[in-house]
Amino acid sequence: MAPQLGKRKRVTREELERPSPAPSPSSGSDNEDMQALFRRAFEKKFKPLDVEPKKPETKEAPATEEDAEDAEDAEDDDDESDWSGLSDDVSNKVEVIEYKDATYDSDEEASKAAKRAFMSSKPPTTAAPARGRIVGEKKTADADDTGESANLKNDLALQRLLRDSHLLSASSSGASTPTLTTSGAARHKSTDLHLQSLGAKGSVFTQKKMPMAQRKHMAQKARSSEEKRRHEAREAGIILEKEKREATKDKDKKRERGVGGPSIGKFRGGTLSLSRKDVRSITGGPGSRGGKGGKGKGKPRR
Amino acid sequence: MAVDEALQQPLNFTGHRHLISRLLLATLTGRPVRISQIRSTSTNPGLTRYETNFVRLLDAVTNGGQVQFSMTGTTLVYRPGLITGSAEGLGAHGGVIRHEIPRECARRGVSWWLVPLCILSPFSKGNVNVILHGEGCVTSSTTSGDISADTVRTAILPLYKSFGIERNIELRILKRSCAPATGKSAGGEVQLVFNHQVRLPKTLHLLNPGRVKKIRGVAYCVEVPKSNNERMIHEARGILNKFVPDTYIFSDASPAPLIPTVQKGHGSGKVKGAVGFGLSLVAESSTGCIYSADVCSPPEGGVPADEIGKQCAYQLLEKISQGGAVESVAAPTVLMLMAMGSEDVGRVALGKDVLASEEIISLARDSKVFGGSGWGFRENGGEEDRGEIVVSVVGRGVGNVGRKVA
Repeated sequence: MAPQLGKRKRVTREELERPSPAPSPSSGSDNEDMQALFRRAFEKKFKPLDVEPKKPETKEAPATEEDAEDAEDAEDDDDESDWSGLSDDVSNKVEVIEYKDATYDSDEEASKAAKRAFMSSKPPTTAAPARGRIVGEKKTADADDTGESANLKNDLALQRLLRDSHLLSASSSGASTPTLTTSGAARHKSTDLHLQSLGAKGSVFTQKKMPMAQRKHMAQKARSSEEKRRHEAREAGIILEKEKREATKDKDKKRERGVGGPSIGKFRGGTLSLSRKDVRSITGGPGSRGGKGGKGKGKPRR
Repeated sequence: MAVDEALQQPLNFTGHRHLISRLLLATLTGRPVRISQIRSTSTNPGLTRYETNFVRLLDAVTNGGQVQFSMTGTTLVYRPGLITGSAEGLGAHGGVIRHEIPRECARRGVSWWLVPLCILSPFSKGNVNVILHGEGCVTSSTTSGDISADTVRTAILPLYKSFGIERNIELRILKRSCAPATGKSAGGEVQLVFNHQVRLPKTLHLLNPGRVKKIRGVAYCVEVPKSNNERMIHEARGILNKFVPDTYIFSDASPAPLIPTVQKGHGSGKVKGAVGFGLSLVAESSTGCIYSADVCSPPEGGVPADEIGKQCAYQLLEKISQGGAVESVAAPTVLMLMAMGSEDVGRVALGKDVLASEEIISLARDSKVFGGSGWGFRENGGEEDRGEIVVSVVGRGVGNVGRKVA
């Protein structure tokens, strides 16, 4: 191709894609004949080529495009359109090769239970699918609302209602319509009661930190109000529940637990004094449980 | 019985082939054996390291046995003892026997030890709890044809259920390892818990192989990227999903086990064990029959994961095409348990290719030598004849000597 000066030539796509030493000579018809000759010679020697004659289409498609735009580059276009190495039909169509098919990349979806059942150290059992059926049956049993499970549910609701009844009466006293379900602060209290009934150490609503005087005053107030209630009840002839004995003395009886302290007895004034009980606990002799000896006398020592 | 044993003349066998099955039969029947001419013409005569190591394991789980090797190791006299399992005071610590497999035994996979141990376990007096560990403990499948520990768990152990042995059986793979190249070590660790001992295994009647209904599998990789697992799984599912839609393969990636070393240049005093990846597939039929396939990357590497997945899937299809209710890997276990069962005729349908293997034929002959009755063969007739042979085995009726009253 002759180098051009002056006007900047439009670089077409065909030009870029074409290999730099153009294999085809410029005259179109000669070239065709030559190729046919070569092919015939080749086919005679080897097996027939399966190249279809696609020349006519490739020649027309670029010509229509370029005639409008590059009218002045007519002589260049001639040899451009002669070149038949790449056809537009093929290059326009983008071949898509997918290395992944979406049909089965879903091993993650295999349920965790299935994975656990199979990957555990135990030999996998064949009974795994039966579990799903049982779940289905349970659902059907629940649906009819008359079975054992429904009874159990109602029972639980009733117990809960009984437990919360005093909270409900307190909270809904002001409201016009009393409700059967607790809400707000009452719900919190109800949960707290439930926790305590299940064995919580104490209520979560008891204040933990408080000035000592205030706590003492509170205890005193509680005691006095309780006493007052009992006194009034006694005067009115009402029998109340039995009074709870408070084990306040236990604190004083507590054993010394300092480091280096004796594990038994009391260390006071440089002497370790053992009570009778302590001695008994060491010797394990008679009467460690019973009264004043006697009873355990006949027992053989081990 | 002790008097009998002293008087009993040992049964004579020759050759190194079927050593394991002969030792197992000897232990289960209580007959002493004398195996001579073990690789006597080989340039490396005598028992190999892994064979002597197995005898060691046998010694660990039994009590009162006697083993004598000749000077060259070409002759072995074995007088079996009572199978005591992991009884305290006989090599077990805390109820667990720790059995080390040294590096020289790394040619065989751990299943080579595990499968015979599983056969002994139901006839043990006490519980069996054995940890196999060491530099030669390879949990993956090996090129010498041993199956992986996963396949033992998913394809061999479920078979015991049909013999009424199903409770408290576990196989824990504590550390995974692949087959090492020469001079390297593996370092896997496997624990077998077999706490269901029986007086006699139930009589088995397994005539209908059924149709394969589900396929499960484990893809494992040791110290190599997890993408290898995904590629194996993808390739295997691509082949198998067409036949069985209920195909799930689970992936397990683990680091290489650390092996203590005294070599210089390792600051931590530890080296990593062998690396690799592999796939274990298990197909289960509608009647509970199991077929398995196992392929692992070779120690020298160079095989892409896709290829392993494809090979494994084709191997599974081949196993299924062989037919029968029991596949070739599991057949020795099943037949041996049947031979040790109650005095009743058990029947099992086997594919012709499975039955015609050298291992099964020699097992049949050996079990006759050990005092069992001969096995009966007949064509599996019926409307859907798939070219199977029904093998009828009469049990010995002795069963578990340690559990006479159970």
